[in-house]
Amino acid sequence: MMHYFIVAFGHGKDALLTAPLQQATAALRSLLDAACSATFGRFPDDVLTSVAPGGVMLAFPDGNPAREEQLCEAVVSQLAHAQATQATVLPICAVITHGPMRSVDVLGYHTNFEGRPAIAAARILAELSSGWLAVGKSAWQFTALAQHLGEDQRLPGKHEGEAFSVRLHQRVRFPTPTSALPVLSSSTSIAHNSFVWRAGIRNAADFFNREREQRTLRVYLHGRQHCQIVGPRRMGKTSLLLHLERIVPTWKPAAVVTYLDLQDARCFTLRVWLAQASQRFGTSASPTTLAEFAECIEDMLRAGRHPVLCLDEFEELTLRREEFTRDFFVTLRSCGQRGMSIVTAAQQRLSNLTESGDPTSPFYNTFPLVPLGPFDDTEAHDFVALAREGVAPFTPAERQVILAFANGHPLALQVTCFHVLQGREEGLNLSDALRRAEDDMQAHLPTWQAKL
Amino acid sequence: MAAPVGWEKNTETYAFLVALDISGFSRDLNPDQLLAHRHRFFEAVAETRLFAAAQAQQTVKVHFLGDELRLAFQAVHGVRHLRDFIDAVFSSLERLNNGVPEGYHTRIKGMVLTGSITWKEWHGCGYLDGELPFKSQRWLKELRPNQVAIDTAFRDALQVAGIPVAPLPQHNFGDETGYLLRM
Repeated sequence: MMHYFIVAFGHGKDALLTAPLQQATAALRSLLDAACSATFGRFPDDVLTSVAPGGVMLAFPDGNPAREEQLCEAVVSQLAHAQATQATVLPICAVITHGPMRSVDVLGYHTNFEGRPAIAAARILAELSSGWLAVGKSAWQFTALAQHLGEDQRLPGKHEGEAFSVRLHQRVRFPTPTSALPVLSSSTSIAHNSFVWRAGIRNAADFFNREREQRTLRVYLHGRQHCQIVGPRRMGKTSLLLHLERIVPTWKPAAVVTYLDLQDARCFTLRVWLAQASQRFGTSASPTTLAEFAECIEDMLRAGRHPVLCLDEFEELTLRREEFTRDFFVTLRSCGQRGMSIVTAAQQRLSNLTESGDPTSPFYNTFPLVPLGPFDDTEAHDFVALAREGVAPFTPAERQVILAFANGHPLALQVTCFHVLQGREEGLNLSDALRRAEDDMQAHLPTWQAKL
Repeated sequence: MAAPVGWEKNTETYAFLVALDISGFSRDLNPDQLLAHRHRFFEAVAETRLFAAAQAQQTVKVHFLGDELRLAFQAVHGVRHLRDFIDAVFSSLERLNNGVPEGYHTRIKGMVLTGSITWKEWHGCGYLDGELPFKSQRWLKELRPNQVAIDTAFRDALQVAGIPVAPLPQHNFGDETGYLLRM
């Protein structure tokens, strides 16, 4: 038997999975595809695979243990990026073992690894918590790994031999969902201020209203239609799309919603866009062509799922016509006709983004409009009056100036509420707090003028 | 029997998932014993009429992991054949264990579940995807050696086919109640 390094990935025995294990495991495979692409350019041809519910094993031919570390580091990068962008962080742990093994045919099917390193890897993985990269005894001797290993750790469980002890990798740690939020180490207490506006609102508790638009979107999505959310800058389009990502699965349990920010550099080229979209959808394959992407969508539809693709800042696609050609839009249209829904967000109607002779224009004709404007008086009043955990209610005087200043603009409401609260902490009067709000609004929206 | 249709990759297919697990396998690191267990186990499966027929018709997919063998038989084979298959595997194992010291007998446990299964591949590794393989993994942990559980759909199908099954003992698997076809 040949010698291999086995790298086994799982979620960890204490994993906090927010999705069914089946979806989490599919997401793990997509993550490994992306990590391999980032590290080796593609999934290495010489690596053997074994898929299990809840995990996968990769067997690298003996010779270069650095490859296994590189892959794990790439996985860390993927997870760190998810953490930084507040996307879902998949709980992951892994173990590296080494020794003679082979991939065997069982009853005519090639599915299984046979050999001690595979058995040990499976046992160690079953005892690991998410976040850890463990190295089994058989791999300790390899210098590239040994320099980063900690002390011996005894694992629980009734195991013998290698699976009884491991050394934990001291440099590679997989970010985990439980550590997604930074912990403030300062001993100074900081008053809670839940008003945010730097990017779209990602915390469900901070998302406010838009009931009318949600009802409309629900009807459209129920009928598997597309729709376009159109509104001026900073009106809350991104927050609404992010809210859809959270709420649509509660409307339709079969829905799988994916949000893509087309201003993200990972959406600038078709190849990376395809990888992003499929990874976010949690497909098992990692498509590199439009045909493969369509096949992934088809798989989801056959499995009874309803893929919903949310595309934010849609104008970006129209600015990159050399990359996103007519074929791209035709493929999206075809996926839509088969049952995928697309929700776009843009400042202009899609019909305005194309000229009549544009070969992609038929794609845009299938998107009913969901306009997004300022809150009306009642909604704005409710926003300011809303009881928020840890935040003292605004006084009548504060409410009055906030409402007058913001004039129903969602961004202005957030900004003004923030500065009024902050002003309280710093002992500022309302006028000074509003001046700060005015500066902030000018910085974010130069065309905005307060109606004071 | 309906005409066999074969398996299409990435396509959800209505099938019976038979999951069989070598009991106590994972506690034994002796390679010779592991191989002996596997050899007897696979031989018991391979010599059944159903497996041979399904393999010839390409209506079965196999996924083996560590000590758990999963066989997805397309529904064209019918519940009676599945029930006979389980009996045949246990009978064969009993015969193959003859002459083996008691402590080294190969013992199995398993289940038959009914539903949609998808045959997929990931970089050369074929596997069975869908809810059932995950359910089988959860259920197997609850079973003792020689026990075979079935889900409600399979029990109902047995009854519809006129195969006497009542009263089967119920077993609570947490997410749902199953029935013990073999104790």
